[in-house]
Amino acid sequence: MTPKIRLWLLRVLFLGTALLSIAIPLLPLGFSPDRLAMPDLFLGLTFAWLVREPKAAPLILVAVLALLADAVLMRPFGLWALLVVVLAELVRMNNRLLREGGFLIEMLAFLGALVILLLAQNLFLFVTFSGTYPLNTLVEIVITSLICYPFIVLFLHYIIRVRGPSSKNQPDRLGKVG
Amino acid sequence: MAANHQVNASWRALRRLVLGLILVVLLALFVLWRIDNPRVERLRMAIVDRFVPNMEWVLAPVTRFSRIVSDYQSYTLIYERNQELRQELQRMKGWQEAALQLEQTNAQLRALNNVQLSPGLRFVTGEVITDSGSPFSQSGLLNVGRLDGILDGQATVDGLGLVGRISGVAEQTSRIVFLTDVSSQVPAIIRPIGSRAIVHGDNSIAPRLQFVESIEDILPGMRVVTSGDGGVFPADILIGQVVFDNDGKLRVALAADFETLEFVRILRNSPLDKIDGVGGLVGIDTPEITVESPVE
Repeated sequence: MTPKIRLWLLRVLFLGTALLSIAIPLLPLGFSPDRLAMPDLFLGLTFAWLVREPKAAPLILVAVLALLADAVLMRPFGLWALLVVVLAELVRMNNRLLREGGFLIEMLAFLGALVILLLAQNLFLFVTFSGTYPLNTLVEIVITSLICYPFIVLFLHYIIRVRGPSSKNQPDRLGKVG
Repeated sequence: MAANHQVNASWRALRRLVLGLILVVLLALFVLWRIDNPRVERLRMAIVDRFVPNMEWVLAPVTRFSRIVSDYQSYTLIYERNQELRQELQRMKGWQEAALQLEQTNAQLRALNNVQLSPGLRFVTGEVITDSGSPFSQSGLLNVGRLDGILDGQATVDGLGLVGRISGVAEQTSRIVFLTDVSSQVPAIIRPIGSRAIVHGDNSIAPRLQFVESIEDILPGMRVVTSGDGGVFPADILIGQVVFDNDGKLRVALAADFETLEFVRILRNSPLDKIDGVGGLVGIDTPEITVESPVE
C-alpha cells in the first residue's frame, strides 16, 4: 500500500468513526432527563486520532464535523465547534509529546483539555447571556467522557489498528532507523 | 531542497490563513445564533433534516439491540410484575365500576342538556427517531414534518398524557420540546378545584408548578390538565398529577411515560374562531333611533 492510499484510507476511517460518534448520542434509548449526561465521544475520538495520526484528521474535516455535531446535538451553534478546532490545532502541534509521554499523560491531557473547554464554553455562554450548563452536568460530561476515552483508544488500537509511528521506528542514538 | 523549503513555508502560511478563517466563521455563526436565533435554528433544522434520516441505518440496529436487552431485563421481573398487576387489577375493577356509573350519569345529564361537544381533535402519529443527545435541551426528533401537516406549536401526547410541543419543523422531520425542558411553560388547571398554574420544566423528570392560585387548597394526587390559555394547546389534555418534592415545592408527576417513548400523537387542533374586539352594546342603538324616528 502506497503511503498516499494509506493516508486517504485513514481519512475515510476518521470520517466514518466520527460520524458514528455523532450518531451514538442520538440513539433513542430513553427520554427521561434524570439519566447521566452523554459523554462527548466526538471530542475523545478526535483527540485520540490527532495524537496517533494527525494527518488523518485534517483541519477542515474536523471543523465541518464539529459544526455538524453542534447542529445535530442541539448545542449552541458554532461555539463548541470553535473550541474543538482550537483544541485540535493545539493537539496537532504537540502530538509527538503526547504520543511519547505514554497513555497516562495522554489521558491527563484529555482530562485537562475537556475541563478547560467546558469552562471556556460556559464562560462564552455566560458572557453572551445564553443559558449556561449547570455544574453537575459538566461533572457528568467529564466523568463519562473520561470513562469512555480508554475504550476509544482501545477501539482505535485493536480494531482500526491506528497506532501511529511506533517507537521501534525512531532513530536510535546514532541516527539509524529500524 | 531550497524550493521544497519554500513550498513548505507557503503551505504553512496558507494553512494558518485557513485556520484563522474557520475560527472567524465559527465565531460569527455563534454570534449570529445568539442574535438571530430563529434563522439559525431553521438552518439547523435543514441540516438535521438532511443528515439524520440518512443515519437511520446506523441507528436502527443499535436501537433494536438495546430494546431487546431492555425487553429481556423486563422478562426477569415478570413474576413481580405479575403480582403487581393483579393487585392493580383489583383496584382498577373498583374504578371501572365508578367509571361506568359516572358514564351513565354523564350520558343522562348530557341528554338533558343537549350539549354541543367540540369537534374531535384530529391527530398524526409519528415515531420519535432520535434523542436530542445533549443535556442542553430535552427534546426529540420525529419522523413527520411539514409534508404531514405538522406546524410549530402543536401539542404532542403519548396516548395518555401531554409530552411536549412541536418546535422546529423541516420537510420530513420535526422536533418536540418535552415538558421537562427548561424552556417549556404550559398553562394548566388543577382539577377538581380549578386553580390555574404554569407547568415549568426544569430538566428534571417532574416539572415544577408555578404561579399557582389558591396554593393552600392543593393536595397531592390532584390532576393537572392543560387550560388552553394562550391558544397554543387545546384545553383539557392530561399533564399529570400534583406531587410535593422534598422541599415542599409543587411538582407534576407526568402522565406520559418518558422512559419508553416511541410513538407520539401530534394533535392538529383546528384553529378556534377568534373573537375580535369588543362587541357592541346590547340594547337600544340611540343614534339610529333619533334618525329614524322623524320618518315615522
